[in-house]
Parts: sequence; C-alpha cells; structure tokens
Amino acid sequence: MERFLQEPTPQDMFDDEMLFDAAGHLTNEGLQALQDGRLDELGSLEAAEHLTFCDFCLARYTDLIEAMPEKLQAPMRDLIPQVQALMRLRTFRIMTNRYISVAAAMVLALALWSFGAFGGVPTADKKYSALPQPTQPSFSISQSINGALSAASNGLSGLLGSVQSTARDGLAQLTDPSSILKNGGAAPAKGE
Amino acid sequence: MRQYQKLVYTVCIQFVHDPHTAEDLTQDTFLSAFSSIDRCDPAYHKQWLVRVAANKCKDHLKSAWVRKVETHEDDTLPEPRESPPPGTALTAGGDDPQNSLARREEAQELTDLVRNLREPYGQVAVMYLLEERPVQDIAVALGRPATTVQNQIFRAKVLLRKQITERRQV
Repeated sequence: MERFLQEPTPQDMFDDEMLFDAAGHLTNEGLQALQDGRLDELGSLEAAEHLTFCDFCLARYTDLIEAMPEKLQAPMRDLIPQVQALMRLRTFRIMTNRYISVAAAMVLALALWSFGAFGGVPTADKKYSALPQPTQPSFSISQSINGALSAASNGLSGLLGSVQSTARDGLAQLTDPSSILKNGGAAPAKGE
Repeated sequence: MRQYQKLVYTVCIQFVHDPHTAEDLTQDTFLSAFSSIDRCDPAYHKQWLVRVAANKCKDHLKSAWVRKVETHEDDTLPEPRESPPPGTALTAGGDDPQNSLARREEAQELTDLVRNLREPYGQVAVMYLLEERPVQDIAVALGRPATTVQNQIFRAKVLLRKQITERRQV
C-alpha cells in the first residue's frame, strides 16, 4: 500500500496508447500496469469502463489477481462491521417504509368504512333501532347508477316503440283501400 | 463477505490509487452487491464482485475526469484554421480553387486524425464521426453499452481537440 501513497514518477506511468489492442481488448501489459498501479487517471477510467462490459477481460483480470495473492492488499481498518451496520439500517428502512404504507392503507380503509363509503355496513355496536326500516330502501352509489341507467333505457325503448307504432299506422292507412273509400274518395288525405 | 474484502479493496485501490477513496468504494461495492446477490451464480461471485467494484471505480473516475475537463474546455471541436484576412482574394470568392483545396486538405487531415485515434476510441469515432452511424447502431456493432459509447465519443472529441491544438502550435 505504501507504493500507492507515493506519487509514481512520469517514467513509471504506463503509456495509454498500449492499453488496448486492435480488437479493443485490454493488453496483457495493460492489465499488468493496472495491477501495478501504473495507469494514469484516464487509463484507469478506460480500463474500468471496459471491465464493466467485457467478460473476456474481466476473467483475465480476476485470474491475474488470484494468481498473485501476495499482491492483495488489506484496508487500514476492517470495513465489514460498518458495511453490516449500513445493510441493517437499509433493511430496517425498507421494512419500516412497508409497515408504514400498510398501516396508512388500513387506517384509510377503516375511515372510509366507518363513513359508509362501502355501502353502509353496520358495525357491531349499532342498535337495531338505529338501522333503517325494511320499507325504506337504502341506496348505494352503484344502485343509484343502475337505477338511472335502467330508467334511461326504458324511456328510450318507449320512445322508439311509439315512433314505430306511428309509422306503422301511417303505412297501413296508405296501403288500405277501405280507409280511402271511407273518405269517399273525394278529398285526398292531408299532405297528398 | 470478509473473505472478499481484500479482493475488492485491491481492485479499488488499483484503479483509484487512494486508500480512503478505495475504502469508500469497497463499502459501496458490498452494499450494491448485497442488494442483488441472489441474481449471481455462486460460482462467479469473485468475477461479479470485481465487476461491481470496477463499475463503482468507473463512476468515481468518470465524474472526477469530467469535472476536470469541463473546467478547462467544452465539448466542441476546435474551429477550422484561421481564415485569410478579409479583403484578400481568398475570401472574396467562396469557390476559389485555392480556398476549396485548403478546405479539402483540412478535412483530409481531420479524417486521418480520426482514423488514427487509439482504442477504445478508434472504431467508435470512425463509425460516429465519419460514417455518421447512430449511437445505438455502434453499441450493437461493437457489443458495448450505449452509454459507454456516448462517453467514449465525448472523450474521443476531447482527444481530437487536444491533438489539433498541438498540431497548430507546432
């Protein structure tokens, strides 16, 4: 680790021109320079970017690290306890958010229920005398909508029926010769 | 997790060269890995952790590099070489053979610079700047994510500008 705390001299730095081969993969020299910490900022960025999508170079880089366990470095302090604490905090937040959402939904549903939004379901402590009499029908919103729709449908079918009967009568008058004779054949029907 | 701590920290410090930043990135790596560990085959845990760590390092290095570049320059290619002073014969007529020849030479010079860009910018720059292919097409053709292609085009332009500026100063 001491090696990384010292600024590498310019002659130690790897030439970015040789970091990739013509096929666009990291060269062996480039991977070695990465492991030795000899890549500059742009070279490190290019190598990291490449490893995020290239399975071939990722496998080579992982093998290279595994092949030299003496080059593995340990952090200055153990990072695992802090990571575990952050994970627990994150899990707690997720669970808390879920429970809060469920509790809010339940409170809202209960409030709507008690206001009769779901058809006025009686509660246990409600007295029978307070309930509506059987002769007085209680209407919910859906019942009102159904009633309005059926009334409109009935009205429309009645109107169509009367139009049909009027037309049928008029046609019968025109085609029935007896009705003409009843008029004496003198005066034509109105409108002729 | 403990068995991979050294591995992840080593990857991070090899990219960023700073112990404190590497520690932060190691923690970020484990936090990200923890949230999606079920999606990875246990046989590939090492490679997967290295990839997550490389991704975290890439994000860190990219933001640092972009900040550094944006403070000095913008994302435009340099203007063409100086035009002849106004009132001279070259500027009087746009169709002047000498003028068009100079423009052709400049275009050829720029084309050569694009073709000679090093990887990972060479293929991307040729496809985008010379063949005028869309980013999505280039991403599919080269097997790279579209965002990576966009970032590489940005950096290719910065490299080209640097090269053109250096040539002018010679």
